[in-house]
Amino acid sequence: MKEAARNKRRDRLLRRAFTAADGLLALGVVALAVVLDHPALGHQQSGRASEVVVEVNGEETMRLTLSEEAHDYEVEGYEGTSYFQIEGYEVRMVDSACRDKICVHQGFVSDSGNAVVCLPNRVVLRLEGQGGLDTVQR
Amino acid sequence: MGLVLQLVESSLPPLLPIPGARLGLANLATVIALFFLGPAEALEVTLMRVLLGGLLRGSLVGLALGMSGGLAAWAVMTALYMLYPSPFSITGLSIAGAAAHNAAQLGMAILLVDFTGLWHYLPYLLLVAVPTGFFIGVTARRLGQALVRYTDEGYAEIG
Repeated sequence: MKEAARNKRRDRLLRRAFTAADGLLALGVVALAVVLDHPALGHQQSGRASEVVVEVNGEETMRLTLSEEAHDYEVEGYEGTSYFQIEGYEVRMVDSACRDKICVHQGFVSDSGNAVVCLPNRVVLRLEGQGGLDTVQR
Repeated sequence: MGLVLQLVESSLPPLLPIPGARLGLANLATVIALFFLGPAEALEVTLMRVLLGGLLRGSLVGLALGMSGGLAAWAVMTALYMLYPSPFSITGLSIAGAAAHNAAQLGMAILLVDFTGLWHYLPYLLLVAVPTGFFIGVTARRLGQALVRYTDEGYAEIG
């Protein structure tokens, strides 16, 4: 009896590849993503940042001012050392003690409120402040 | 039952070591277990998969991330599975599961590094969940249909 009910559910789920409800669900997820990406919700702070806050496991260990000329830094994380670079009022992870190197592939970030995150090493490069580049240009 | 369980189990190891595809491939086992064996068994499969995967990777962070994602995906897919007659197909379940999986992993990641700015990645992760969930759904359907044929033949021989 219980098995028969299970097989009925199974066969119904398997019968169609894609239903109208599936489409609505997918659209709903996309809509949610778009809404969350809206400036009013997701990115309260925008524009170019002026400094980068380095956090290890949520604790601030360094606070550096973004600059035009290149500077290399390193910070000790949980798994090893993370190497990062400030250049052209942007910051990027050069190398980090992690497997997937998602943080490195992220490249340069420059907007306030943004961040480069190396989760395995628990290192966060968080951008703060306003108008690093703009102030200089004006 | 035993035959199906074995098939599900044997499908697990080759799914684990693929790092790039872990967004969805691991969920395939949960999906298959859910509608062939039931919610409780799917939970078992999910827990075992996450524990084994975590041990293989040897990372506590990875284990916590996998556990949060796996459990969230299981919970959402089970909720949709319990609807009957369901307006969704296996594809819909899979997309919902993938979205829940990614969102929960991000939530756990935020707890771990204590940085709420990570929420910036949620829209991106949700968008990614749609194609990966779709792909896993289609794959699960194919696999499911093959398994149905296989087991029905098996039952016919016994009966």
